[in-house]
Amino acid sequence: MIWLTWRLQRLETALVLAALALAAASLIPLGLHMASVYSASGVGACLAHGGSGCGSTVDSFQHRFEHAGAIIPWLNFLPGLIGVLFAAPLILDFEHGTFRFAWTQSVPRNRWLTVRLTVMCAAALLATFALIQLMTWFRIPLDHVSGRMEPNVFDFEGIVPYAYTLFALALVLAIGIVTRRAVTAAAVGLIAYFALRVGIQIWLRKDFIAPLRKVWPVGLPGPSNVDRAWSITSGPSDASGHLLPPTTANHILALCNNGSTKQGDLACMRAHHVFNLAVYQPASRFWLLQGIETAIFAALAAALLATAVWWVRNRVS
Amino acid sequence: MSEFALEARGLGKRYGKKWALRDCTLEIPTGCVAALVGPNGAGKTTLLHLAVGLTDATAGSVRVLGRSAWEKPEVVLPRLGFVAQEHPLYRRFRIGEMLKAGEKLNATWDQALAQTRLERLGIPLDQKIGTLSGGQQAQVALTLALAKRPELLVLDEPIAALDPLARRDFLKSLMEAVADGGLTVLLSSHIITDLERVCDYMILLSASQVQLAAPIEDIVAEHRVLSGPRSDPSAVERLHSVIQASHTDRQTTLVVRANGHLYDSRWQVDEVDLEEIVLAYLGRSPADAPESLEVAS
Repeated sequence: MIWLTWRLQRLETALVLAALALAAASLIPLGLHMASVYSASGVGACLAHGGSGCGSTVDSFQHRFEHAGAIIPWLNFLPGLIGVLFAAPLILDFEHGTFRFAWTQSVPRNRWLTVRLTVMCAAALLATFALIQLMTWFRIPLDHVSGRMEPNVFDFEGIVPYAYTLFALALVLAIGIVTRRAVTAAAVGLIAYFALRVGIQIWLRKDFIAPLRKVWPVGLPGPSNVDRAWSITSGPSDASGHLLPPTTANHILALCNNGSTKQGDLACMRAHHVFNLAVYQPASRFWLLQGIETAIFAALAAALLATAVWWVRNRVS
Repeated sequence: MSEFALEARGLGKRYGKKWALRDCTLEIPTGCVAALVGPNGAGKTTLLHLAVGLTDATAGSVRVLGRSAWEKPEVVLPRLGFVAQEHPLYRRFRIGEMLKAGEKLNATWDQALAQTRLERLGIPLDQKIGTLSGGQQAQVALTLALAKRPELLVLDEPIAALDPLARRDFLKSLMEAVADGGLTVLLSSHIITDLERVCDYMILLSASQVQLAAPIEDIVAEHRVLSGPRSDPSAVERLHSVIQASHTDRQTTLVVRANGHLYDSRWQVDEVDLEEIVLAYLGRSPADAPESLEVAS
């Protein structure tokens, strides 16, 4: 049974490995380069001990590498792709009718279904593990500098990618078993998967728990945990934390930017009651947010898998 | 070994509001080669799926080899060979891998039988399933079922998709397997030609119900066609069952299932072949003839 399951998903496993190899081929050279620049230019020492000129060293490193991996947004497709590919062989069994061959051999269908689902989910989780390891290694220097709270980082580290993969797999599988069309299931499933992923990321994740909201006068040091945080809103505001309208902000900026010293400009702005506003999720909430989002997607995946199993046991003959 | 390879009692299956099979009671004696005949949508596939435990009954029960395949799959499945409609096989597999799948999924597996059989048919083991012709795929599917060394072999429309030559080859190799002994066969078909040479028992299914289930010999012996001047067949109906009556301006023709000896000087009595008998039964009740529902799911 295990041999058969493996043989049925051999092609899909090869495709997943190829996609992972492609990601590794583009990230590993860049990652090695970035790590050497990180230690050579003293960014690490700056972050640990501070010192003169450190601000610009760190800024230029961040500027240089934060968007260096142009491939990274594309890697968002990988958990979805892994889920689709590992779900496909089982859907094809129903599309081609070969489940009737399997169910009339000597293995009872409950055992057949258990083995197929277990191997499929284990393979998908293993591939996701490889992706997480690759991204986390690649991001070591960047995580030190800018943290891992922002989307495109948060989505690749910790535990949440496992839930994404399982959710994509379960969604495509459930659609595929009901429609018995692998291509339809892959297309509809992927669209629904991305809609939900992006929707939760844009509208829900920042409010899983109320974000921190800090207001402080310009020129004074802000809260220390705003570094490496996920910044949701920030900018010049009034004393009660309402963002200044852009026209007002620009007007004050032009007024105060009279070319004297930086200190003079800041004093001028303070005289106009300009404050800084930061609304953010601090880095300390990484695992809390990861846990909540993982729970959401894992629960959806479990419900979809249960639906698929129910359908196979009751509606397929 | 029980007397009957298959016994159905009041068996019925409903999909939604539609009965695909209804009140089906029949027995198939062990050791025979039985044809399940009927038009498309008559409920043949449903009956076979119920028999091999792919689906459970809405009403009644069906036992194969003495047990219910739905309730006791671990007992029944190893003794059963089944080839589903369109003989599904893993298209990406080589034939050798398909045999390995059979070996892995069954406790009893005769690899030598499978290899010898395919070799004799000239089907190489390293060929991809997807590149085989329909006839060859059917032969591979039959080989897989036979390598389980089953006591009952169930084939759903095994020859429907085959051209006449492949059809003949398939039935020939099926006969050879049966000749090796100890095998009961139940095969469904909407094609009646060729079946008479292979089968010795027939079940006629139409409009979701069993119309006839008996040894072919008896069926042929019991049925007669009567022809004579145009008249009312009610006198004949009193003694025998009239399956089909057709009239022209001058002549009346009756297909009759005789109840004992049939002699009537007003009628010319002739023998009738199996195909005509089947057609007479199928033409009997056009009112409740099945709409073409393919209940393959």
